[in-house]
Amino acid sequence: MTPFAALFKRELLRQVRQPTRIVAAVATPAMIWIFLAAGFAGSTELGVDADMRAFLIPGIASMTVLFASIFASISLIQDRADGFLRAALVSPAPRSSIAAAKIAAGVLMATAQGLIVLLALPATGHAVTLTGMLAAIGVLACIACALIGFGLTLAWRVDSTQGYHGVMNAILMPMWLLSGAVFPVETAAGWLAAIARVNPLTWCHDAMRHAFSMAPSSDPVAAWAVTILFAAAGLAAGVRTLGRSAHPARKPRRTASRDPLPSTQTPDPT
Amino acid sequence: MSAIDLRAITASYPGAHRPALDAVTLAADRQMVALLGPNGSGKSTLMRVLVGLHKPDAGEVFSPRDRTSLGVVFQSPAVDDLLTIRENLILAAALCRKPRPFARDRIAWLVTQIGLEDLLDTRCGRLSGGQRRRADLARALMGQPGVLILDEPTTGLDIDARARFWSTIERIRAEEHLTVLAATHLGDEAERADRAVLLRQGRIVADGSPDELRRPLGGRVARIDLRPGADHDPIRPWLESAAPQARWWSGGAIVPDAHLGLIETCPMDLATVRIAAPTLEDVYLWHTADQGAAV
Repeated sequence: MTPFAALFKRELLRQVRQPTRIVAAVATPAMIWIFLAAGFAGSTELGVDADMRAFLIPGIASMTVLFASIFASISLIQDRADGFLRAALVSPAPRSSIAAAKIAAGVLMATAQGLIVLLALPATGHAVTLTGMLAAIGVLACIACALIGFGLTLAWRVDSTQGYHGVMNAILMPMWLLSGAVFPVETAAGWLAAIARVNPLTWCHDAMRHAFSMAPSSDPVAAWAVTILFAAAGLAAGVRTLGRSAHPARKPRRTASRDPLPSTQTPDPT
Repeated sequence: MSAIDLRAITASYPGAHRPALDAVTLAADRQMVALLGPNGSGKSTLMRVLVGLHKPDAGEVFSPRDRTSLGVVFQSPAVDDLLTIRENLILAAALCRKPRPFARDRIAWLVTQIGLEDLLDTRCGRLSGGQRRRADLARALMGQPGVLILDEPTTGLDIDARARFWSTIERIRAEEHLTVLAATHLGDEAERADRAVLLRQGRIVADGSPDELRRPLGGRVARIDLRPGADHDPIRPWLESAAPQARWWSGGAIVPDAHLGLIETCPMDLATVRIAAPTLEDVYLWHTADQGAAV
């Protein structure tokens, strides 16, 4: 077994042995979808070829992927705290394989969780083709790849899971809200639409809505290009960060160890 | 070339007022070397340099040149608690790029040597502290390394588990001709080594076999321990005249070449005196006590 395959298997085993993580990643977006769809039912003129319940599905699926991606990248901080990361870094395995395995396993799990949400789309009465569904799955995989890759880059520099959660929430929630996840960018105020257009997640949502024939105004080729570039940039950032030769110089934190030999500090002669 | 060959290594951390390692040179081959020193003396930094986790400011690591010959046991076990011991060992073999048949045979041999046969399919999170330590040792040995680095590996273990851990190391070391570098705070653990290296403020202050290190302290060493709450000052005049060669540390003093008369004259209400053959703990105290504070 190659180092990548062994690390990939480990990541999958860790995910399936913590089922509460999967439930948490899916349950929150599902609830948000139910409440938003019910709350806006019949009161919103979207200006796109879908009702509110169907329109929200791509955004809710990306939110599921977003949560799963945070869990996947935060595992780097846990690995460091548990000591596993040091053991992997001093092994002969290529260091880039650690990042590649985390991203690959994270993409698989996050996409599977996002797919659970996508499968609700036919239940809304919106027509879905197999090609469209496969394309949307591809978009979800790209989003996961980008978010996990950039997440690993941040996690490499952050020591606490709490700090990482705080930073990720501060970045990703506004990014998600300004991506056309809950409103069509086409009908938004001009300043808001301008911000949304520089947000790569907006283009990912457009690519998904093109796949589901929800007819956003953007060019599908451009939407797919930005989506793929976003994923490639995240992948490169994650692999490059962990592939560096050594961790940034940092005084190692001591574990609670006994020190049975007496202190040899000089007593104050005064 | 020696299995471990570090030359003039200087290493520092951003913002520190002195280097963590200051021109340290160390070579070892098929020996068990104990690395002794107080907190902050540079033991862990030396290990991080050796395994490639910290790039030195100056000097060179001539050996080991790559990570294929290294096995490392850290202060806290690095096994994955959500995986079984078997899964952890298979993963460790894969990280060392060992083929499956090798991994299968190696696991069978290691679990017998280390006493993990009945626990092989137990998740590491369900093991006791001693069992996790042994599982971690097996992980470090999966790649059949030539050099085993142990960074305070018995932290948190009881006396029995510690003894078992070290006897396992000695057995495997003899079988596989390992070079072992073990950082420890414990004099009794260092006594097991062929050689002890004492670090203080990033420099090697003593290096030799336990016997060679004990010899300068003479046949008898007195340890004068202050009673709780007692001060150095009332004892100072007495010790100045009774044992001018003594060195002070925060809990009392240490006297090489001690004479039995110290017991009779010591103010017992303030301190206790023990006189015995020198140990590596005494050597540690002697070298790490501030020599400027010698009475």
